[in-house]
Amino acid sequence: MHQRGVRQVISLSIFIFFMNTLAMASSDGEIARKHMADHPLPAVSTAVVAASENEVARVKTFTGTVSIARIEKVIPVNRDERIYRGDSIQTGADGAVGIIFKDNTTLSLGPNSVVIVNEFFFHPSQGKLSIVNRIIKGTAVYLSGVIARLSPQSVRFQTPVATVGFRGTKFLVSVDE
Amino acid sequence: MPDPDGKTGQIEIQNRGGIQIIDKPGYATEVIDEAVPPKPPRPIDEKELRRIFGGALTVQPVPPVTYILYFTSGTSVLTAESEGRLPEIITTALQRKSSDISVVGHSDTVGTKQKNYEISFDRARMVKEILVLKGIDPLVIKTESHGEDNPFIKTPDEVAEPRNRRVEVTIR
Repeated sequence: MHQRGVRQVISLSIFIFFMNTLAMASSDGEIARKHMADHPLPAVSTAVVAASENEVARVKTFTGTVSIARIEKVIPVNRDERIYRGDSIQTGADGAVGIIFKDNTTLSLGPNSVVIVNEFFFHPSQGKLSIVNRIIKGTAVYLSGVIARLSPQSVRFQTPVATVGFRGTKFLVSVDE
Repeated sequence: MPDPDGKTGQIEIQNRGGIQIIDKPGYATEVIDEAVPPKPPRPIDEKELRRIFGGALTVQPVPPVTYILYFTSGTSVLTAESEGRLPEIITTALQRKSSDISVVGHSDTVGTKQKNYEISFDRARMVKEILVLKGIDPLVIKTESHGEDNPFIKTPDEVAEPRNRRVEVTIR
């Protein structure tokens, strides 16, 4: 009754989902930039995005090389680094990173991975709920949070070859190059 | 443990080729192309799991801890039992050296949506004040209101439900 977060975690099942894709062997940054060019975010000026939007997640754990590509910049991460909508999180060959979203969704990435935070709204009082992430390559472990409980259809995890929809579930994804 | 509504997890993997549902723990599917349907699920063992996902599994964050505090109807007065939970919350926050604590107010569905939004906000602000008084840095606490729209127990409108009159303190 009291520590709901903890109990939910214990209750969840593990699912695995892995795949092969034909992603080209270009650099992480290049893949992310190409993806951004092909899938532009809604037309809001970058200054407005930075100023008006709250953080959507924070980095909690990391090892090795991990960076965030935000608009035109690449930022090396620290613990408690804030993550905003549109950020692309990238790990190097020696890197791994774990983040927690504001709805308690946790996401961790293994080496050589790229994930883009496409959408995140957690405003139940306004009926605005959405969490959409996209893995470009690499491995990810995903444990769904409150948005999945309130509105499972608002949760999506996109990959180059398929989209995962779910509820109350932990799953793992691998995208081979 | 299942969700409050009794359902357990499942995922669906969909692409232009078709859809595959996995509802058993420890099963995997494989997708080779966007136009080819995902393969039927097959079991995957711990060793293979570790081999593929070891890196990502190692850095999984410690899951957030959520404490739920309850209130007397229509007020921002904590129940006596919830009052007694405060020391544990403070200890956890300090032990984790958390820089990310959210305090979210909720109500049941008695009264108007707007009124419930306000009451829930008052509840959250009250809890924040207590935490700050007990030594938590105000800058790491974020208060919010979800009003009657994020119930612990789903009810029709105008239902008094003590378990929905609450503040959830999440320490990440």
